[in-house]
Amino acid sequence: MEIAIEEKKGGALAASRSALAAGAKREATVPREDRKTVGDVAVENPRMTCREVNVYYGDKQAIKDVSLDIGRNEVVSMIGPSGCGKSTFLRCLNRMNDTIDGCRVTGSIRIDDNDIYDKRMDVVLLRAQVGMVFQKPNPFPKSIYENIAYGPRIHGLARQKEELDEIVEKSMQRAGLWEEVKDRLDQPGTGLSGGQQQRLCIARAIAVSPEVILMDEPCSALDPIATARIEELIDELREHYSIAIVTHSMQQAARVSQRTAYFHLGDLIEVGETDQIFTNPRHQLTEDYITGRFG
Amino acid sequence: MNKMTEGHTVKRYDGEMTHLHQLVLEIGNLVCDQLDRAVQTLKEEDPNEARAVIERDKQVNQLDVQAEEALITLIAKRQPVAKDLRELITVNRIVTDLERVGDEARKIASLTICFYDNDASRPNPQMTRDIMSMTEFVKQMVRNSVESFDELDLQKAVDVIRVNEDLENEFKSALRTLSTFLIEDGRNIGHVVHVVLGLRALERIGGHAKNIAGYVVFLVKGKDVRHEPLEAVLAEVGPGSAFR
Repeated sequence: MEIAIEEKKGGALAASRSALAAGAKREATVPREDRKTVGDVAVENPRMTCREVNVYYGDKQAIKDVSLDIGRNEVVSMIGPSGCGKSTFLRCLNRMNDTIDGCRVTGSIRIDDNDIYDKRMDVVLLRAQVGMVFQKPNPFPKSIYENIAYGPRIHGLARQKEELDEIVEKSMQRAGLWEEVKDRLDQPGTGLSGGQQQRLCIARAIAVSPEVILMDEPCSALDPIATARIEELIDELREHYSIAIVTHSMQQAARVSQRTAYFHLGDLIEVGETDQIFTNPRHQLTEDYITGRFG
Repeated sequence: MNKMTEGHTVKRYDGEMTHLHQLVLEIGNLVCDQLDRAVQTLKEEDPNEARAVIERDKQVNQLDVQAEEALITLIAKRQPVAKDLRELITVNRIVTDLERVGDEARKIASLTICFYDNDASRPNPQMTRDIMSMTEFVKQMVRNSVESFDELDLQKAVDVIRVNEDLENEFKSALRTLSTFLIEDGRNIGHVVHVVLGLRALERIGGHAKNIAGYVVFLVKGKDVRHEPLEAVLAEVGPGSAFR
């Protein structure tokens, strides 16, 4: 769906203003109609389809009429200043917002043509189908093996110990962790380094055979080497899964994703091929943000 | 400073971009002056001044190196994207073309030494007439191309691309005129060859100006038009378009 191309307009804001003030200024100066999404929100044969999604926290609207597809075997990155709604939108994709009191979601979000907000939808199964990796690695206080085996076991994915072993090994291999931990599977997952813990969490998400993996700033607590390993892993995982990643690092978005979506004050301002977004964005707000002119 | 270089949250970034921008303008002024002086030495038959022009080309080279260093540092420090990235790519290309304009000006100065140094054999003044007339034209092309960069003026850039076709025709016409000198007297061959080299240098300078104008279209529109025909460039820029 091609939506109107916006003219670039407006200047940059003074450096001394806080991000919040900059956002407020933009809110005041950019009319609502100029914040319609620029770019093609739809992809061919999507894995997930989101249409006119609105999210409210009580009276406050955090997401405004956002439409976006998550394609198969692609990485979609979501960028934008703090408070723009990118994490809120990400959390809609596996109904993590259900856990927040006063949060209300409207619009349509479908995975393989099934409405994830349908009353009959089993949320536990949905979260296996759409896995999530968080900013801070959060392994269970169990052994490395049990961290991975827990999900497949409760979802009944393995009937015998051998099958479970196979899932654990395969998941850790896909997460690039197997060679490092195969000789100490009985040791606590919390004893691993930060980067290893994050890969353990990714392996844990993979173990329940998801279709989509959501990542909310998965590298923000990691050093550059661990970050590089996760980025390399994201690239490999794309072969099997769809990935949506929220990141504050624009360079990371440019490196790992095929498409990039720019959020601003709850609006999806622009979505497009990552190469295009980072060389020739079409919306002034996107340009200002990625070139460090506000936010 | 213009819309491409200003407005960063980190003000030092603005300063670094502006510094590079100013370097381009400085090199542009210097090479235009070099071209002017080189042709003047031919007009005034002054080989000593021609040597000074050749010597001064080192300044152009130094500025070229300085711009390259500033560019590399800026890329390493800031990891520019979008229009910042296009600005730096454009600066890099413009500086390369301007440095070559300087080289061509040096070649014209060498012509003066070849024709008028001590006991050198002087050409018929009619032979170098076209060099004089073409110089003003190409100098204006270079000035306009650099101005189009400075002012982000797409119309000026398109004009440079357009008039380059006129320059090409002028060059061919000058070659035809030179051939009459050969027909008149085969002994003119040495002078004719040198004048052809001078004309060729001017024609190349026009080509560099056209390149610079193409980079400006890339800078503003994000579209590479270097190998596109004029009609395609016009379609991209559009009538009466100005920087967005």
